[in-house]
Amino acid sequence: MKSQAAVSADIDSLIHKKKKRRMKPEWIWGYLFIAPIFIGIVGFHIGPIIYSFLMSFTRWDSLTQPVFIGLKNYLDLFIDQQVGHEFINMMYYTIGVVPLTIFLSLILANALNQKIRGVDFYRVVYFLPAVTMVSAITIVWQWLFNSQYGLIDKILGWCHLPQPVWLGDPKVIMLGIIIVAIWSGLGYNMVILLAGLQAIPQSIYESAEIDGAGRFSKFFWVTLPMLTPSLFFLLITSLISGFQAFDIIYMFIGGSTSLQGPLLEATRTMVYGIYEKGFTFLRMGYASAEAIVLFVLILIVTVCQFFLQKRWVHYDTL
Amino acid sequence: MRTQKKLNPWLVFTHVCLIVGSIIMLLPFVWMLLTSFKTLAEIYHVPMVWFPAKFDFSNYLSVLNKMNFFRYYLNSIIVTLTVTVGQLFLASIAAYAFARLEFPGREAIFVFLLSVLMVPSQMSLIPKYVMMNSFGWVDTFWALIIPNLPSIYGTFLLRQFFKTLPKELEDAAKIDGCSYFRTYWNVILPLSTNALISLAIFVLLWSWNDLLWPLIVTTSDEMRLLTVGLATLNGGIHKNDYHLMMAAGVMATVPMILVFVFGQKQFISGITLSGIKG
Repeated sequence: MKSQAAVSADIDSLIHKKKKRRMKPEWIWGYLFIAPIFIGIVGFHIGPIIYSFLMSFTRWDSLTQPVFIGLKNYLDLFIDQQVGHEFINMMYYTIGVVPLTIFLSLILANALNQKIRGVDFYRVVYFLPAVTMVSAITIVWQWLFNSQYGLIDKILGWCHLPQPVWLGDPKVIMLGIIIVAIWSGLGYNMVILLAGLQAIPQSIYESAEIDGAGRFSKFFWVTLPMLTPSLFFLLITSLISGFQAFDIIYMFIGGSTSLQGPLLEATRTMVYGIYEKGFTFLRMGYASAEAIVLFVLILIVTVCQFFLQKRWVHYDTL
Repeated sequence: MRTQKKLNPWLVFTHVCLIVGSIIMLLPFVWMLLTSFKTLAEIYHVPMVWFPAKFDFSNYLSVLNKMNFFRYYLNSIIVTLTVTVGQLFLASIAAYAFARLEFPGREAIFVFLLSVLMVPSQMSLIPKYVMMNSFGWVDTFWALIIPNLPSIYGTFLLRQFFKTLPKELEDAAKIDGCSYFRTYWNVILPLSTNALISLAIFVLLWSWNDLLWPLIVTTSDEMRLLTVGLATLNGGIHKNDYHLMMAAGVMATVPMILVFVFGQKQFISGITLSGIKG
């Protein structure tokens, strides 16, 4: 890759500056300064991505030589029931978390974008979960969700609401995970939207007021359209990170020893599947194929977003 | 000042919602803290015991002594600090070259590296592990630190920032005969402390809380980081000793909460800097 860059550099200099054929010191320093990043990114990211693609066509247990098996891994993935569960759980998690988090943080950011008492306190409080370790957070929530000694079911009991067995019921466990994910993701979304809100010029609100706009029409006709770039950014990044969620899933599964049977099937997602196939069962080729499929899914969703954005994102100021 | 005006019902409604929300946000933290001081008998007591009978640090001490937690702590600190300093240095010096130095292929190389941001990190996970294995780095600090040093994301962020700096100061340095490295070190970096601190906080947070990579490349108890230590506790023999796990959780989360509370401004600007420009 380095030599290719050097070749294109040569071509560049031939076209543009015929007279300067000699390496200038500035070039040497430039290449020297970017060398560590270049080597690192190629070595730890670009190289492995290509390698991963190649490995997805092999059967490989990381101890013996990889065996080329063509598309077999991909065909197996499509009929693997476990992978089907992983896909459905991943979608369930993402669809459960993303819209609700964005919706709640939109309300929150609007509430905190006014001059009200205690605004700084609220901002710290709502952002706090975003800085705390997911591994620690999940343990607390597991304790809160405990069906016998947990606080949540106790509170639900006082309110005469149903008290689900959060961690022991395959139908409910993902709901619990989604609640924790929303709780911990709210602060980050809020901060991004607050920045978006503060970028809206005050003059637009003033002219809307002159036109007789009330609180709600100002929100729907000024705030919301002006905020669409931030919302678009959040939608793209949170869908991607929803598909990639690992920490919270891994912690709920409990170090791959605790949950079993239907509970595990109801919790595992594709990234967990990649982890388990690759590092627990040493099926490196199969795991690579699943990683490629995940990448393609993310790519499809992201590309769709970029096509759809024309319909609802306003980049121009009024 | 002015006397209490008539209560605005909308404002009251907003405050009520915000306070209820705050309680929900804080409850897990409060519960973690309270539980961390309780005894085993207290956490499994029926009816529920709200407050521990006495606040002492015996749970904390037994976590530190019995579970090698002290070692996890040390490992996390070593890794996080090294990764943060290393990432900042490599990213800033490359960003300086990309923003300021003229050399053939500069833009092409930059875009080529930037394309990595499109690909989810899980895709490089397995080959990266295989690489660590062949280097003999599995279960060493090398594997925890070196692959996390190059960050195109940080390079991109700093390049954008360096481009906004005025060029005159550099020219002055050049006339004084400063080398490119001296210009970077003595002129560019001091002008960019805010951007660097924002990025540092971001890297600090990410590195401290990262679970997947340390989980994969560490095998022995001695090399575990806090995140992995907690995950192991969660599946291990102390699985039901929530009073101990909460003490461990408090210790693992307090450093970042402190960083956040003290570096709030930079923190928020770091998040928005990284986010909104995308």
